[in-house]
Amino acid sequence: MKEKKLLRLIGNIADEYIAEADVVRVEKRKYRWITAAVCAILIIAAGYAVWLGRSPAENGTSAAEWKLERSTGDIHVTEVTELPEEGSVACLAYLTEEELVTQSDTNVFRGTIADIQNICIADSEGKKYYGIITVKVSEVYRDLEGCEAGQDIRILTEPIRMDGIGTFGMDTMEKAEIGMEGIFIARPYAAHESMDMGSGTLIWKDIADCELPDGVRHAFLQKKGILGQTILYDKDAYPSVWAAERQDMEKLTLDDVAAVIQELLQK
Amino acid sequence: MPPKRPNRLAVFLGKITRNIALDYYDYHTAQKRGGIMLELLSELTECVVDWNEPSHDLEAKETAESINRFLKQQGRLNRMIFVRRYWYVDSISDIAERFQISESRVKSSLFRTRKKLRQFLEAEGVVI
Repeated sequence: MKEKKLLRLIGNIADEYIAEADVVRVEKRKYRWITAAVCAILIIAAGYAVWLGRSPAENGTSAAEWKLERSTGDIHVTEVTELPEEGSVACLAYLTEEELVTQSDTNVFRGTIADIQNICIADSEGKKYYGIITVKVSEVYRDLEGCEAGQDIRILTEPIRMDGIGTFGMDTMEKAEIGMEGIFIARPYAAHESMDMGSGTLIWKDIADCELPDGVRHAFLQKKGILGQTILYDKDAYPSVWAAERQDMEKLTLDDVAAVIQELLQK
Repeated sequence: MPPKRPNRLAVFLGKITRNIALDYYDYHTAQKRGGIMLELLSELTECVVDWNEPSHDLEAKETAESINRFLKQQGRLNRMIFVRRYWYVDSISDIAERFQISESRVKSSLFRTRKKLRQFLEAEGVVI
């Protein structure tokens, strides 16, 4: 078994790395006064930087900048940990559950969220914020294009507040966490699908493989809690799933959701 | 004790203990026990390169050196998280507590490091 062999081989790494990782638990608040002074300096410096309105690119510093292979112009994509206070709230066109699932231009698949990143796409004329979730696909219910089990797929969404505070107008995806399993209805990007920025053109495939048409109705997430598992989804948009949840006293599972979705896809 | 005295005795003894523990796990086939070992092996599947054409197998020492070169390129925290997970076999929650970071951050770091390791091993032509 190759994974076992790799695990053994990792056992032979350099002693310095093993010793380096053998740190005692990081102590918080050991030197409170130093920490407070450093925090004060950082706050002042951050405020000054914000006041100047300078982006990391303008400052000549790199905040984990992404390499764009096909995009043109002076566009910078960086991973961010801080998000603006307010986001845009989109009006969602009414669609039946059948229409939501059977839209001809979407892949429907199940998988586990392996990574969540928030990014800022910036050029000289402005900034836009998005979330990128990486899903390890376990099962495909409809493959329109480029979707197969075992693949890692990057999905563009609205930014995801991982602190759980605030909302960008989304009910389901705002609760996404790494490790959650879910079912996703995502539209794959065409090779040259793009967004015009003031200074150039961003090719979507440079940053993601597909997008959720909206983060409210195009995802079902399985959340593990103290009382067991619950499924996060828009109940108003999926009356069949809601009916299945109410039918028995048993908890709704992702397998139940998959059964409803597959039934809708076969219509 | 080997002829050349190890620089770090604790690490030397740790390596011996780790190998004994893995042998014990293999012998008793911890399928029933499941738990963290199955989790680790499942995660490391992402790093294993699958070559179709006949290729060369490097000796264990050379492969470890490849992994060392990879680790050298990583940031200190990401490297420590990787080593805690796959050398020390720590749980995600233990790693998060040790470094005082969230479990999400640990998972994200491990996911990205595994992905980079796979790409690195592919580039170096390492077959496992």
